[in-house]
Amino acid sequence: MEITFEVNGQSHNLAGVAPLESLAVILRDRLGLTGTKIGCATGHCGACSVLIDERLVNACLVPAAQLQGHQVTTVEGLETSEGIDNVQQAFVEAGAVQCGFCTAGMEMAAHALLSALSNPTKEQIRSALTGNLCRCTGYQKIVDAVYQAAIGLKGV
Amino acid sequence: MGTDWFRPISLEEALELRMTYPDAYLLCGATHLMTQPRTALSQYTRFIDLSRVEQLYGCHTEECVIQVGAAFSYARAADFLASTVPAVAQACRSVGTPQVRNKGTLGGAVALSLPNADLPPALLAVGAEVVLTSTVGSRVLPIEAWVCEPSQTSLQPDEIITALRFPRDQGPQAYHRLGRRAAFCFPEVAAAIAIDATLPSPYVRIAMTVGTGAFRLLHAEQFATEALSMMGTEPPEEIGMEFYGIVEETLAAHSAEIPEVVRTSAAAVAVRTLQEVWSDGDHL
Repeated sequence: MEITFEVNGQSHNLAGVAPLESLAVILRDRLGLTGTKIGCATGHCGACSVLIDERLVNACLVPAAQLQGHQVTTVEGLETSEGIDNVQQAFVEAGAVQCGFCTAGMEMAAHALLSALSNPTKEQIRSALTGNLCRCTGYQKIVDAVYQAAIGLKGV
Repeated sequence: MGTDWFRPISLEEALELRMTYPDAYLLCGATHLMTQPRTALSQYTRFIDLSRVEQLYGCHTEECVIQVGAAFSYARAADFLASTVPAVAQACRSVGTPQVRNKGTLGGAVALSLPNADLPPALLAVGAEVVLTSTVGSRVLPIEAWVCEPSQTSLQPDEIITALRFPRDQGPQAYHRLGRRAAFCFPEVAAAIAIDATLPSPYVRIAMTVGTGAFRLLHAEQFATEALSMMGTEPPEEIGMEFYGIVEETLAAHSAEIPEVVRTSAAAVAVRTLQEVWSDGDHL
């Protein structure tokens, strides 16, 4: 089938797509956006988290056939003309990255949280990240990073 | 063999497709579809994607009933029902992960009726109804009549689940569950309790799942209702142990295959849930 949708503000028209091909596979294999990782491919780990029309979803659970006309934001789309965004900068400063496999998904989940809630508690941050697993178990620094990002955003 | 993927944008179009292709796979949020092995899906050559049908996102409130479209995501339903049907809202917040709750839908949950899912006990406890629509009209079915047998629902080949209806503002309600992980696991045990305080004498409805399908605990309901009428709004600590015993006995009678550790855990969850609804005495 043929689908037209936007990724990070750029329109894409893809032909010959299987309806059940996942968005995660399309992003990585067809569009070369490898920031989105595929961990479990069953929605458990959250490594493939992206935003569709500003809603956080697992890209592995989105069939290509449902992408028509929608807007997707991946971790590559968080970058601004000035460089990485506040959430990403907070991850760097907090040392919230070990192997890095979960980082893109964590940052997308954090981005979704901070878009909805500018002043979250650490409990709210943990709750927002329940859909994202870190195989290195480095959760504390990840929560710290999101908390610091929120403080930074508030201070702007 | 090719695959036909239909994307109706109106309910009328969706119902026509449903009637024409009764063997097509119906989907909306696609969270269940995408976790199925491809071999299991290979039998389907047609898919009807209901996610663009605007009528399935509607909602309206009547004096005693609140109706929400079948395409409501868990996340949206959790917010929308938080004050009017709190047990269902709590169950919606317990499903999957934030990502899954943004995509998965109420209609999908009802259609699948997975025996150990979060929603069924909450739907039973609050007395939800399913609205089923075909090209000839709609019918409303009590949730208790929905699942005929395990994995067998009352959905007819020409019908689509279009909405869920809930009695609103009935009284205190709560939902609690135990699982191996806070997110993305089905509950090992779950309990939903709703007190219908709109009746002359408040009635306590109790439903649970212990991995074997949700069911009501009628004996426990009678006990809690009588205790409530005798003790008023006093917290139920005094009756907690007796209630615990009744729930455990009921589960043992329900299925001999439920291990003792599960029965006792489930009874503890039921007591905790009852304590929460009972102590919410402002509504009584």
